[in-house]
Amino acid sequence: MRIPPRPQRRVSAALLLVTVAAAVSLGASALAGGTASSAAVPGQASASAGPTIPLTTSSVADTTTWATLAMGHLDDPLNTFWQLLTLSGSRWQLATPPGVASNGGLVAAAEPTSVLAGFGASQALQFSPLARTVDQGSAWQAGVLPGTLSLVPDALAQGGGKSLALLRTAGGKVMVSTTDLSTWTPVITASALRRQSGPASCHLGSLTAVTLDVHGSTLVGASCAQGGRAGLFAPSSDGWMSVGPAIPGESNGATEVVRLDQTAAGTAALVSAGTGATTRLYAIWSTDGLGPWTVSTGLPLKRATLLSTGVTAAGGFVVSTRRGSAAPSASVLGPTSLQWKSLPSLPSGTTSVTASPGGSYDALVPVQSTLSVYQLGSTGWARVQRLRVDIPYGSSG
Amino acid sequence: MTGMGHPLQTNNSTITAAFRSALNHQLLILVVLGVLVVVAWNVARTLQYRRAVAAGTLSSTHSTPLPGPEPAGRRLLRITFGLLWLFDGLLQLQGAMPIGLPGTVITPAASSSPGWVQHLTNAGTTIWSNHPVTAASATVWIQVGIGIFLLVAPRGYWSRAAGAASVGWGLVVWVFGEAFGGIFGSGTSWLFGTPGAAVFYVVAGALVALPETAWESSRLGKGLLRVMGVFFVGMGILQAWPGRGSWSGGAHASSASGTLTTMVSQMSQVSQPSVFASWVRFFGSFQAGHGWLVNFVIVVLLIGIGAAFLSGRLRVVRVGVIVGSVLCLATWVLIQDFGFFGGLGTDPNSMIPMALIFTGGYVAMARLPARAPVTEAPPVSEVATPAAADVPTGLAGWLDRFNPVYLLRALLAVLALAIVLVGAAPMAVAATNPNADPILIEAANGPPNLVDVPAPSFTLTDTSGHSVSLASLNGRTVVLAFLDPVCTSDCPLIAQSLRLADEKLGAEAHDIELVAVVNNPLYRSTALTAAFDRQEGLDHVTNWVYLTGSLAQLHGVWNDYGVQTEVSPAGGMVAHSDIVYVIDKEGRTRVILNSDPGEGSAEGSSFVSQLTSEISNVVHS
Repeated sequence: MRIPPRPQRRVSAALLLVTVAAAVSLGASALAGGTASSAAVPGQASASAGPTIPLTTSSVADTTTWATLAMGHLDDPLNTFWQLLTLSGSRWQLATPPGVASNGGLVAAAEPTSVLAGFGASQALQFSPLARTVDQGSAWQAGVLPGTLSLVPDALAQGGGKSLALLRTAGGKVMVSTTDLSTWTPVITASALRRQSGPASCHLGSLTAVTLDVHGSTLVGASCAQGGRAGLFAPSSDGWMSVGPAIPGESNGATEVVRLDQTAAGTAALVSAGTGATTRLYAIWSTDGLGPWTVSTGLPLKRATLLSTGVTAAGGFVVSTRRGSAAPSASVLGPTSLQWKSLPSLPSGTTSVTASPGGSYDALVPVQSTLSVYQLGSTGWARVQRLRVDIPYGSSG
Repeated sequence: MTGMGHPLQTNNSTITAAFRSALNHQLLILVVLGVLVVVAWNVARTLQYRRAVAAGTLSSTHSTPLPGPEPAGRRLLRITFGLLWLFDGLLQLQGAMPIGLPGTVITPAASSSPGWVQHLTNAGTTIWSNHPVTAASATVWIQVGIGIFLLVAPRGYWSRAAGAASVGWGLVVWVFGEAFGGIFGSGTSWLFGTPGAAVFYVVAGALVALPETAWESSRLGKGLLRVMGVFFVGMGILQAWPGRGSWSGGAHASSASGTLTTMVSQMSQVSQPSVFASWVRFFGSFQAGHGWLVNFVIVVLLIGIGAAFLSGRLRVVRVGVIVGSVLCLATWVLIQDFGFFGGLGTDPNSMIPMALIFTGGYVAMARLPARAPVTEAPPVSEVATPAAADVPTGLAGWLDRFNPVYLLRALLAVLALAIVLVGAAPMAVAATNPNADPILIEAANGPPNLVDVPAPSFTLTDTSGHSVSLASLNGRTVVLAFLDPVCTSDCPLIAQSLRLADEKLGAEAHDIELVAVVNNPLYRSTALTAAFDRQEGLDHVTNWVYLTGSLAQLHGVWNDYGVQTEVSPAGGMVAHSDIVYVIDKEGRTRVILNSDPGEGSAEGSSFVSQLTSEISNVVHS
C-alpha cells in the first residue's frame, strides 16, 4: 500500500467554497420557487368574473351519494386522474368507469336508478366518451358525444328516458339523446340563446349547466354579465325565455349558475352573483324549474376559491371554499333553512365536502393514491375510512 | 414508453421474471469471480508462506507495513455510507423497480421542477424505460458494489477510488433520479428531503476520495461543519419564509399544499407498520393543532444548529451535532416515514445521510489521527543494503511486499469493483442503443406471432354497420392495426402514421387496404369507431376501414393475432399491444411491426418510413 502524497489543502478549501455556493444557490432558488405549487384541477373559467366553477362535486340520489374528485399528482395534469366515488351505506367505494383515461376531467349525473358519466377531452382525444351504469357501477354501457363535454359539474343530465349534454363549443351547446348514448341532436347553443329576446337582457356569456325539470323539459343555466337575475332559461312556445329569479341586492350585476339539479326539493340551483370581493353564492329552489323561486341569503365568498359543491339529500347545498393559504371551510344550507351555516374547520387537505343520504357530512381528503374520509360528528371531524386507489401514473403521455 | 403500446403494469410478470433472471445470471458471474478471488488469495498466501519458510523469515513482518489507524471521521463516513449504498442496492431488488421507477419515482420527483430539469430527467427515464431490466439490475449491482467497495477498502488508492465511485453514481442518482433533489422546484423544504439524499452520498464520497492527509488537521471538519452551518441556517430561513404556508396550522390546520401540515398528513396516510403509523398519526394530530408552534420550534432549531456549526467551537459544535441528530431522527421517523415506506422506496431519504455528514465533520474536528512519531534517521552507514540475491523477484517476490491483510482487502476491492462493472457495463452498452428492448414488446404483446403464415380470418363490422371479412380483402395488401377509439395518446398517432404511409405510397396505395380493429373491450361501438375516424380525418380515406364487433368476436381476433388488452382501474387507459401486421395479397402474414410511435408527432416518426418500406416490399414481392 502506498502512502498518499501530502495533501493539497486547497482541495478542502475549494470543496468548502463550492458547497457554500451550492447552499446559497439552493436557498435562493428555493425562495425564488415561491409558494406551494397549485393544483392542475380543471374547472370552468368564469365568464362573469365570479368564482371558477369546480368540477369537484357530489350529489345524493336516493340512498346513494356520488362524488367526483381529482386524485394522483394534482400538480401534474397528465397524472391527475378524476375518480367517481359512491357512498352506499357507510363506506365509500371507487366507481370510476373503466376503459378511458380520466385525466381530462370527469362529470357525473346521478338519478336514483342510474348514473351517467362523461369524460373530458385529454391529449389527442377530442371527443368525450360516456358511460352509464344502472347497478352502482358494476357494469357500464358506453356512449359517445359528438364533441367535447364542457367541464362543469352539471354538463350532463338525465331523466325520463332522455339525456342532456353540454358541449364545450363557443359559449356552449346543449344536445339531447333519446335513444342511446351515441345519437345526439342539438337543443340550443349559446349564440342562439343570445339572440332570443328574453335571454338577451342578461348579456349571456356561456352556458354553465343543464338539467331536465320534473316535466322532462330542458332547463339551461348560464353566466350573465348584467341584469342581476339568475341565468336560467327554458324553452317556450316562441323560443327561449328567462325563468331565473332576480337576486336580491344584485340589481344589475353579473350572475353565474354554478349548479343546476333536480333535487328532493324540486329544481335547485346554486348561483354566484357579483364580482371580485363582493361575490356571493345564493341557492334557489322552484318546484317546477319555472318559478316562483325561493332565494337563500348570500354566502360572501370574499375572493375565496370554491373547492367543491354538493347537493344534499333534502335538496340543499354544501360548498367548501378556501381563501389563499388559509384553512378550507364549508357551509351548508336549505332548503328549509335559507341561512348558510358554517361547518367546523375542515381536516387538512380537504378538497370536497359531501352530504350523505342520512344527512351527515363527509370531508374527502385525497393524497395521491389514498383517499381519507372524515365524518362530522358531535366532537368534530373524525377519520372513518381510508381508501386506496390504484392511480395509473404515467399511463397517459 | 417506446416499444410498447401503453405503459405496462409495474408488476408485469414478463418483466419481473426477466429482472430476476438477469439478477441471477449476474449473481452467477459474481460467484465465479468470488471463487477466483478466493483461489487467488490462497495462491498468494501459499506463495508467501513457502518463500518465508525457505528464507527462514516465517515469523518476521512483511515489508509493507499497514499504515496507522484510519482517521475516525473518514472511517465513520466510509462505513456508514457503504452500508447505506448496500441498503439502497437491496431496495432496488423490488420486482416493480424496472417498470415502476420512471413513472412512480422519477417523474413525480421532477414534476414540480422547471422544464429544463424535466428534460434532463426525461433523458434518463427514456434510457431506463427502453432498457428497464438492464437498468434496474445495473442499479442493484452498482449500488451494492459501491457499498462493498467502501466497506472493504479502508485505506489508500482503493479506498479513494471507492469514494470517487460514490461521487460519480451519487451525481447520476441526484440529477436523473431525484431531479436535483427538487431544489429547482417549488415548495422545497428541508423537512421533505431537500436538497435530496443523493447529494449527501456525493459529499461523503468526495470526502472519502480526498487524500488522507486532508484529515490530519481539524480544518476539514471545521470547513465541513461551516458548510452545514450555512445550509442549516438557509433551510431555517426558508422554513420561516412567509407565504410558503409553513406557519399554517391552527385548530384544524391548513390545506395549502406544501405546508408542514400537509406533509405530515400525507406521510401519515402511506402504508407502513402500524407502530410507525401510530407515531406519525400522533405527531400529525399534534401538528394539526399546533402548526405554528411546531414550525417555530423547527425554525429555531435549524438556525440554532446552523449557528452552532458556524461557531467553530468544539463544545458548541457538539451540542449542535446532538440536537441536529435528534432533529434529523425525529424528522426521519415522523415526517419522512423512514423514507422508503408507502411506495417504491429507493433510499432512506435525506435525514440519515445528512446527520452522518455533520457527525463526520464533528468527528474529523474532534478526533484527529495520531501522528507517527518522528524518529531520527539512522546514519547512512547503518542502513542495510540488501544483497542482490535477497531482492525479491518475479510474482512471488512481488507478493512478498504486501501485508496479507492488505492483500485480502485489495482482492475484495477488486471483487467490489467487479460487482460495479457487472452492472455498469451492460448499462453503458444499453444506453447507446436508442431502441427499446424486445422484452418490452414481448411483455406487452405476449409471445411473438409467427410470420409468413395464413392470416387468421375474421368477420367484423365497419362504421356503417356493414360486415367486412379478411377474405373479402384478398387480392389486396392489408395493413392491419389494433386501435383503441378512446385512446388519448398512441392510437391517434398510429392512425396518422398509417395515413401518412398510405400517402407516401402514392399509386401503390390503390392495392392496399388500411384496416384497424378495435382494441378496447368496453368502448367498441360503431359510434365510437366513427367518432375516432372523424377525429383523425380518416372518414374520407377511401381505403381505410375501422372494424368492431361483439366482445366475443373481438376476443377471438385479439387471441388469433396475439394482441394483449388489459383494462386498468381508476381512470387509466386500456393497456394494449401496439402492433401492425402487413398481410400480402394471398392472405399470409408477412411482417409484424411494433407500431409504438414514441413521443412527438406521426410526421416525425421513423415508424412511418419503416411501415412504408415494409408495405412496399410486400406489395412488390
